[in-house]
Amino acid sequence: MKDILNIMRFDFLTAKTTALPIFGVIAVMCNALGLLFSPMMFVYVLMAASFLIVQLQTYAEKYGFHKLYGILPINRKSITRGRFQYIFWTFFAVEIFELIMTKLALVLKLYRILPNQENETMQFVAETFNAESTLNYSLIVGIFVVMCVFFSYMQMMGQIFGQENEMKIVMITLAVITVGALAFFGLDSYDIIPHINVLPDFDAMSLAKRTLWYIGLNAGAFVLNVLFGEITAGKVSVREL
Amino acid sequence: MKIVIKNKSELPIYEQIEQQITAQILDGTVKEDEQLPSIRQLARDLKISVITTTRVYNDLAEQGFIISVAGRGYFVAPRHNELLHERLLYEMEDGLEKAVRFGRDANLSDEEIIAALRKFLEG
Amino acid sequence: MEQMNILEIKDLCKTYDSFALKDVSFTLPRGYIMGFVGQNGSGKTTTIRSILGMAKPDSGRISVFGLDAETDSIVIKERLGVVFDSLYLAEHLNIRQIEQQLKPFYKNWDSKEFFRRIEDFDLPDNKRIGDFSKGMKMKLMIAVALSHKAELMILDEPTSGLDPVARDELLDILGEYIEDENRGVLFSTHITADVERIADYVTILHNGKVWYTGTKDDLTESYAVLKGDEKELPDAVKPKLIGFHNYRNGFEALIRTDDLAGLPTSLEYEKASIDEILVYIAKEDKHERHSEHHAV
Repeated sequence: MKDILNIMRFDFLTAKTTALPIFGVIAVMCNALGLLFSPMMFVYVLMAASFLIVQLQTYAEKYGFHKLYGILPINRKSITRGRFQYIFWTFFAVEIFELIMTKLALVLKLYRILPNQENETMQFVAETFNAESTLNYSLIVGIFVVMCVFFSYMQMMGQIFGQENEMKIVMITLAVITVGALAFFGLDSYDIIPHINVLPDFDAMSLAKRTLWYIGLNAGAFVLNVLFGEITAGKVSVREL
Repeated sequence: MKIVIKNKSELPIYEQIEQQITAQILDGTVKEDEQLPSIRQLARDLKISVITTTRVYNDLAEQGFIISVAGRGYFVAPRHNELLHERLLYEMEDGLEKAVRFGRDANLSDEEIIAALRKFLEG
Repeated sequence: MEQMNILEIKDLCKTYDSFALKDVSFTLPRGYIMGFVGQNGSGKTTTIRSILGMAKPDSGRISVFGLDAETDSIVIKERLGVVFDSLYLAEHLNIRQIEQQLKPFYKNWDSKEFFRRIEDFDLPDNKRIGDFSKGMKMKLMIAVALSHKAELMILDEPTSGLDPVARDELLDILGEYIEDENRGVLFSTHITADVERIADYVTILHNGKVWYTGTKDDLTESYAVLKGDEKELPDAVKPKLIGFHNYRNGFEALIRTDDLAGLPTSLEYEKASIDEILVYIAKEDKHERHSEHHAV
């Protein structure tokens, strides 16, 4: 456990110096825009968090960390597990922060300080601050799940099949998902398959039930992350460095 | 103690060091009972292997120039030490022999050679 | 009980497509420096990678500090310092950031010692380590090794591409390191001048096999370079020569000093350096291939 934490710390310190300032600027901008114009802006912070992972990947490749992994007094599997945990907790931390930001935005309703409140665009802006709507929260949890699972999956594929195949894997994965989704919605819209609600109607739920759903989605992402991590650790730890 | 190692010398490094240390003990540059650097210190200072300096000290101890005191290190052997005495005697005889040979080569009589020696003895 | 031998390798075998280590065995006693020499591609790096568990041997046993290198690798690595020919750290960081990264991995990490070394070695602690010279990078890796009180230091070609001043500094550092008799150094290099003076033991690897292992003094006292006219050479001695080569003015070959007795005085010989020994082993190889070629 301590080893995994140490690797997470190591990975963060590797990416931090260059990735954190850029992420920070994007985060401050998106959060400010989100508070003023639309809480929907907050999902972009989650997307920008991927920078902290991509950057780490780049450095690990460039500077031959495999030699370091060969001399550190640490289990080889812990190194892989630490990397996957780093991915999960980076996105998770941002998710929690942005959920709080959303709550804050909905309470403060800062759009009211903007000029031309009667303007048509402003009507639209005001709409996104509707405290009744749960869409803002659900979007953040949803994007978190997508980002976390996608990057965990990419990490697995990259480590098992090699970084040079990464672009191919990205393209194939995206193609499969797109075709699958199109097929599903296509079949659904022609009533060839019975209509399934992929996600429940969050607006109609009680706060407690909705929270449970969110926790469930987070847990699901975590389970997938750990699963991908274990598969990778099993494959990679027996390899030569 | 001053030791200079010549990499291009025909003599092995350990012999170079042994010669230089004995010379300095004999001419008194290194005084009796003086402590010598430890085997590992000497190896470090001269940038040579520990095995080489170990060999040097073992040889010198065997020849009676230095003594090993358990737990404290190596010291220059006292002057009255028998082996050292013998060695000095040998060096003296060696020198006298040479002196006599040079004297004879220069066609000096025995008396003249002895007179020359006496002059040295009287300083 | 402290183990007498700090490193023991027994019958190590490892086969790759184009290269194989065959029954590599050698022992490094505690308190000494071993030079691990051989041409590029002789198997030095594969042996070192096996010690570190980075390569998986087909057979054989490696023990470090008396512990099994495979099953006790984590305990071993706590006490092991490694210097590679190139840096293994995040080069966009500075020394302070690197120290932050490595510190938690070692129980014995001593930050004070680390920064004392960094100062000693004149390394700037606020510059990108990627901008360091080769010599500075080597010193940084040594500082890392010294800061977690490594008892065994393994250096894999640390001097390749280094200028003479930096190489000399390395010898100084190793001399200081080995002043503590509980430590050991395994130093792989193809530049034999580096080990000629400071190494206590030498292991020569050639084509994946151990050609010699033992004290350096035994090695250099056991071989001589013989020169002269081939006609003077007794036939009985000829098969004993290593890397025999005829030139316009005569022949040159390596010979065991035991075989020197009874040779005509017209043949001259002088003590062989490790470098010369390596050269003649390589020549012997070509010679063999040459004669095999003739036989076909």
